[in-house]
Amino acid sequence: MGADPKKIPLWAAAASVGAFLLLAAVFALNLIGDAPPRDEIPKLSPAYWDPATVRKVRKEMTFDGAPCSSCHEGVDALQGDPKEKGVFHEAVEIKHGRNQHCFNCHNRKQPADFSDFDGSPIKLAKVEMLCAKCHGTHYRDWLSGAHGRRTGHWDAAKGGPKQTVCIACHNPHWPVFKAMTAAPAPHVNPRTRKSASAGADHGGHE
Amino acid sequence: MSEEQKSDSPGGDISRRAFLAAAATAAVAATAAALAPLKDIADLPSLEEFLRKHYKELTPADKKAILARIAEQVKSKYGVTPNVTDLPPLDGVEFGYALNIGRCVGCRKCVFACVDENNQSRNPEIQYIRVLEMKKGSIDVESANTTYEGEVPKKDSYYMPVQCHQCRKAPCVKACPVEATWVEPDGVVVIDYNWCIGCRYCMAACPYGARRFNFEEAQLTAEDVNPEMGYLSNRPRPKGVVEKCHFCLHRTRAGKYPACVEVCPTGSRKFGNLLDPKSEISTILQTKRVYVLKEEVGTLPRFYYYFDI
Repeated sequence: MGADPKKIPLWAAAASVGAFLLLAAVFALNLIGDAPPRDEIPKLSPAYWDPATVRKVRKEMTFDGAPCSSCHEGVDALQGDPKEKGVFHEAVEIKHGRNQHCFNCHNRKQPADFSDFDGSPIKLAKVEMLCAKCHGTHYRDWLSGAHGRRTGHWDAAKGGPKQTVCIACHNPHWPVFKAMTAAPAPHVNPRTRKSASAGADHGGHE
Repeated sequence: MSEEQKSDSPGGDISRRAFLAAAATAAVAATAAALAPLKDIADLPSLEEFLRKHYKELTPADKKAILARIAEQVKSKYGVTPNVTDLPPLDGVEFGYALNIGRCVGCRKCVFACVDENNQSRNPEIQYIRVLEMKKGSIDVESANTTYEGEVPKKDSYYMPVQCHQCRKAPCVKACPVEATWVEPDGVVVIDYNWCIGCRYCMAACPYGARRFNFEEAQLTAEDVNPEMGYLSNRPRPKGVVEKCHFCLHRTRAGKYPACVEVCPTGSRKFGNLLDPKSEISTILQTKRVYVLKEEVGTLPRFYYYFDI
């Protein structure tokens, strides 16, 4: 073209300066708007990280607060059909595999204690020895730390771990764990939620 | 010539100089408007913070000053007086972790014990542990479900929690361009949150998806804050840095178990000293069927999965 290179057409100048001014207005007045607001995430319940064991371990053997000896008295073995003697232990549900008999574990003569193979008593304080009668490999692993819960210190110099006894987790009458309610699922960012399953399934990339 | 020009531009001309002046002014106005939000940045680093040295070059006096400064920042931000420590690694200790996949029921208590212990942001939510739900008989991490809810364990499913594996050959450490992440002598991969530039190369490098990025500053209330803090572990992280599991360094270097081990209701989580042949972790590695996630990528993790049922 033959145009003077030192001159700019007015319409072109106005268009480019106007574009900058428009941009300035867009930014200054925040015309694009803010990012979408964050989702509300419900406040976390301390129950989600409650370190309590699955069960409570009692200090001594009682029934409704009464010691065993108040009914099962003395050293004589119980006789007869227990169902004829009233309703006491019917609430106990036994789902312990083939181990369906009270006196496989409970001591016939000293009901506050448990029973070893030869009928000699095992105290509640050493209840792991009762479970070890059948579950020897688990007892071995429990001693080494491979099975069961340990809390406190990993470092023996600082006091060492505190072992958790079998019945603090397993109900001896029904040793398989009952279902638990899971703590909430991780919150998925709304921007990744569109591709619903893809965003949710990639562990940790949202 | 002027005839020709007129016909080209009916609206007339302006000089190039005048145009450049007007365009530059308008461009400066646009830039200023675009950058205006920067004036709201409140947590610019102080001069000494800006000029500080790398963690490994700090003298004890430097460290003390930094810990005191962090304590002050936490106090002014959250209103909690923290106990900020920087425990040294213990001699003759290399931490290892084992997780019994046969026992894990997927209750996610570990996830939230970790969140509570480590001052993780509540919203946006940051969690170091992801629990993968998979069908029994397969280990297909890609198709695992992380958003299951309700009663667990689900029928025919098993659960595999994944967190930082504290690799011996950590790809994240190799990827970091500024040495903001490194392997400590006790085997824990740590991050200096004040040295991290937020490039997230480490996140791309990690084959376990274990690293998390603070897109925003951690949202914590005073009651959420755990005042027992470690410099390399759970002190509140600034915006724009990467964080991840550090085996609760402030606890484990004091001889305690990590928070996730403490809380696990099934005792699936095992932690200890790999160099002690009698520790539970050593026993497990010697006697159980141990499995390493993504063994083929050659990261040599200090995090093991095992089965015994």
